Amino acid sequence: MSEHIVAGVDIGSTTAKAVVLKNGQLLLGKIESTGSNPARAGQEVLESAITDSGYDKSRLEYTVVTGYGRVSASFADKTVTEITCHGRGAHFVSPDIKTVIDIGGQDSKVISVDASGRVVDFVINDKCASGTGRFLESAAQLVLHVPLEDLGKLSAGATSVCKISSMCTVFAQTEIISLLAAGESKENIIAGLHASIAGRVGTMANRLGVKPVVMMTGGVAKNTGVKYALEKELGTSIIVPDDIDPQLIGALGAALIAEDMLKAKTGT
Amino acid sequence: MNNGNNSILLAGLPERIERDSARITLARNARSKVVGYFCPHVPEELIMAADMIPVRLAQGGDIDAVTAGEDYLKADSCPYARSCLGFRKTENPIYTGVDAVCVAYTCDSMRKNQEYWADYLGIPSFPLGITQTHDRLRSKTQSLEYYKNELNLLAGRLGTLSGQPVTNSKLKRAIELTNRIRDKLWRLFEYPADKQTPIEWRDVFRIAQAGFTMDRQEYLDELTLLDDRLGKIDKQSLTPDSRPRLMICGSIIAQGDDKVLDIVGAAGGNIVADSVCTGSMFSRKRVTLFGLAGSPMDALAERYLYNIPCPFMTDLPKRLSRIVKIARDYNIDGIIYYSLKYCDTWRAEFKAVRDIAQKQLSIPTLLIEAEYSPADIGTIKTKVEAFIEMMEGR
Repeated sequence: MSEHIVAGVDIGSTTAKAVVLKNGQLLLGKIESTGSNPARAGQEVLESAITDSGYDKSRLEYTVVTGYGRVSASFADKTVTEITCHGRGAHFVSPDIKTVIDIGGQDSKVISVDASGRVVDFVINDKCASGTGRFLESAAQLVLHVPLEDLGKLSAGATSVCKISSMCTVFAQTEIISLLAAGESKENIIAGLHASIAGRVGTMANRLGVKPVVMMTGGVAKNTGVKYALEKELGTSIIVPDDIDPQLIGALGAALIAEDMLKAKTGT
Repeated sequence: MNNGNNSILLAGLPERIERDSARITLARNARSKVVGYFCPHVPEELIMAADMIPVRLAQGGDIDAVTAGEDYLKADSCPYARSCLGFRKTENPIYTGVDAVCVAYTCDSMRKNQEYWADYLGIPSFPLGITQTHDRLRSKTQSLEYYKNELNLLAGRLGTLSGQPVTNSKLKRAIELTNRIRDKLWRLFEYPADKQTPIEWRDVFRIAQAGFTMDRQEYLDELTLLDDRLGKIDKQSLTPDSRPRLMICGSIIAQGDDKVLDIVGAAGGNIVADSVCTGSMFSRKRVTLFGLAGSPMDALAERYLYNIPCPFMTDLPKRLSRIVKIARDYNIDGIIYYSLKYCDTWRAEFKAVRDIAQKQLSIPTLLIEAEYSPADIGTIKTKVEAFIEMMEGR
């Protein structure tokens, strides 16, 4: 097959991601904020990723769109759920993985994959922000007034872990305000938030059965504090992709499926 | 997908049955009393034997009725149970058309339903106590005798309401008619076991639901007509259906609660079998009358106590072995486990179903918890699509 370009786009609740493959090899990935128009955000991140790759968008031969915004993406050649895409992307990065834990902005999911990266089972949390990136974001920005990306670093300085029992994002904020008023350090509270997410996601993971090797994907995987708390909760070590941003794994999986689809279409 | 020839044959048939049911509901008020029931633990034969018209009040999927029901039941109780009261307030013609209701005590919310219908809606409301506890220390007869006694009490109350006492001979006639309906419906539910089927489960399910409110004899006539037509189709001429074969199992899927079924269909899944109380289970088992001298009440008790797919009333091993049997008979690739949000009875059973499907059948089970509001459509779509992608990837 001659030189060909395909792409995967993952339109999440917070960010839109695009990954471009050239001849099946990773060329470029890009992340932009979703804003209020998910379909347009997807189209924009795709176009800028192609341009950044040094190609014209007319060269793009196949696009698979995933994420919650997939339903309105008219530029998609095919839509696939984020479950299938995260399994596929994680397997590509590290072929020995058996379990993928994806914590995104709006939901979290645990996926079991087989030796060839196919999904064999999964769980998604039910329409509630507990155990998701949104839970951390609201606590960090609205109550603790620290940048989201500093949470991991700060929690490493905790002397003890606060107990945060509210699963509800709104009630947790109230709880944090009380803890601050009682003189608890930000570090201890952040460690408590991480333990709370780990507890929530850990319960989901245990329902499915956690088989090593475990990989974390999604934006929250960049938070070392959550990774550490989840390792403690599950009693197993967790890998986070380092060659590629863990937030791009879904878009990468979509791009790999696009490559398959193009091959099937052209019969090669 | 629908085979071309079958879509022509079946065009409009389920709709015709549904339309008829509305017409009959209005017409019958003039000539006879109508008695509603909710759970299928209530034998409709008793109502027929008291010369009244049975209707199953099993509508759902209507958010207004759910909200109206919150006058009685709390907002985090089962949406079906809330609707059972709410439909009176939203003036659903079937719910306002009943002269009395029979309510089996099958969960906390239904028990209160029975009392609110009597005390607040002012409609005669007959309770049906039911228990099924037997193990080494308790004999099977204990629960059966209790249930039979309850049925006798109910028969007495129904007879008083209509002024036409339930007699053995009238009961036998009602059993015979209902058995004939069961036989016809069961033949329809068996078709989708074959990949080459002239009718899909979804259509059969709609026909079964339409039967809740139809005149029994007219319903039998319609079913007979359909059965004859389907019987004439050469199954070998039909295109085999290659979509993933699914079984749906769990809480009541009420008439009008189409959300999950629609999502599964749009995602390319093919439901071919069920274990829900509004589906094939009504027809799966006849009421067996033993000889001319056999007591019809004994036969009813035996049939209705042990053959309703209800986790509250059935021992777990029995529930599980039935689900496994259906999954094998219909060559199921995956189970969709439907739990109405806040329906503790069914949600509690999920883990056991999921585990047995994994261990004995090596098939996955997807849990869908849903309300009657459209708010959860996005999440349910993602789950169902991922589940079907997973099966297609196998």
